[in-house]
Amino acid sequence: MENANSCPSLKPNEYKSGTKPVWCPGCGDYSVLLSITKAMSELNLEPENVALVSGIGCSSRLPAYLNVYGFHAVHGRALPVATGLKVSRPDLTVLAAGGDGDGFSIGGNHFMHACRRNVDMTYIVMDNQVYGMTKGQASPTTDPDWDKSKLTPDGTKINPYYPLVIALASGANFIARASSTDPNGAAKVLVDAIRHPGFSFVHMLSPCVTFRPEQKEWKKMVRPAPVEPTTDAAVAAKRLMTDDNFFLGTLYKGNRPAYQPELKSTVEHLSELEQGFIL
Amino acid sequence: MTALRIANKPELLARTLTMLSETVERYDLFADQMEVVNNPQAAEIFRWLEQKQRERTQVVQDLSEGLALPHIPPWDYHWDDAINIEVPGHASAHYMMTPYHTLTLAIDVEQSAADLFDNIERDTELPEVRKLAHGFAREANAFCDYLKQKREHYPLPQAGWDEDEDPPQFLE
Repeated sequence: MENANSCPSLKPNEYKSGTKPVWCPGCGDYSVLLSITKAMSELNLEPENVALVSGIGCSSRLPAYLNVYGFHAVHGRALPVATGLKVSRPDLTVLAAGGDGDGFSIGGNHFMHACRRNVDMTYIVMDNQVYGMTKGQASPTTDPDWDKSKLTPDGTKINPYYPLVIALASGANFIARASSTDPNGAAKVLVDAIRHPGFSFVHMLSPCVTFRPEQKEWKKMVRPAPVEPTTDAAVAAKRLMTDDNFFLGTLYKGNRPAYQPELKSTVEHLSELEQGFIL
Repeated sequence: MTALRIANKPELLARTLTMLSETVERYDLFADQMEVVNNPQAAEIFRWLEQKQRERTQVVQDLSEGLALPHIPPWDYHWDDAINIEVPGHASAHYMMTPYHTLTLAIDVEQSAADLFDNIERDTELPEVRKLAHGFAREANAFCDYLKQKREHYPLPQAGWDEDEDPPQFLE
């Protein structure tokens, strides 16, 4: 048995806030919340040294349910907020989280550039291939023939977005997939992602049981990737391009140094910071 | 956890405690969910199950008194969240589930826990582990039987029990 931490000082549920989640019964996001708390416990992270930044959507409600610093950002803008935070407070463990619509559509451009910048943080995208909070429209990762939304009654007829391939091409330093159907396995992936320097991207399959009930079948389709993590981007590219979206585990571990600019000034009082914005 | 070799009594207690405490948390969560979706019958049964599991957890905690239990990382627990083995999976709840479903879920959990302890008892060569696993299996089987009796008080759900006349899929 591999120990991340010989004896965690906090139990997973001690990372939860007192706020009760309001996701639908059966939603995969409950399990992702559990995995995140397990990973933080295993890494022995102090809650006051962790920040979770999210966007908008069902999964972006996560910061409210955790007992760490949280920022519920604007739609698609979790990554720029998280980037600014990490660059200015490199001592913090910074996580960003959201859904597939928030991360790959509204925030798609930020996703590419966050991968490219390679700031040391972990981005968890709970992918359910649908906009759930707005009651079930096709998202960037929706299959082209999904015709259950009245907005796309014949399907989108558009090829889905392949986030892992985009992440690799854009320069992400760690790429993995996990599933809410296996919260303990997902906790391991998150531990590895948080530990790895640079930008870590975790593609988290998290079924929407309300608007995509057929996704309950994902539990039968996911399986461990039959490969070891590679450091070779060319090998990873082939692996990710031929991936069927259901292989779980760490698929790529790069060795680019994380981006961390030198902090040129320190501000002791808020008024000093405001000086720079006076017109 | 099915083909599991237990090294010693503290390891069995540590694993059992994790299993029970996660089950307590899960029943608590399900009860909250059922309250939110206005399913008070299911919520009440989940609350009762939570309390029962809490009492069992306390018994195992008492048995662990004075022992140094090992820390076992989550990924060394091989239960699968997708199906009801040992700990009920997050996806097990449905907002329209009936008391019958609720108790069936708990019966599945107890049955798989009993099977797990039976396997541990069968596979171990350590007398103290065998004795403890035997006791846990007997207890899980007894609770399983009790739940089955309790379930008889509720009708078998009709076909179409999950058909919602006011479904959440509403786009206008």
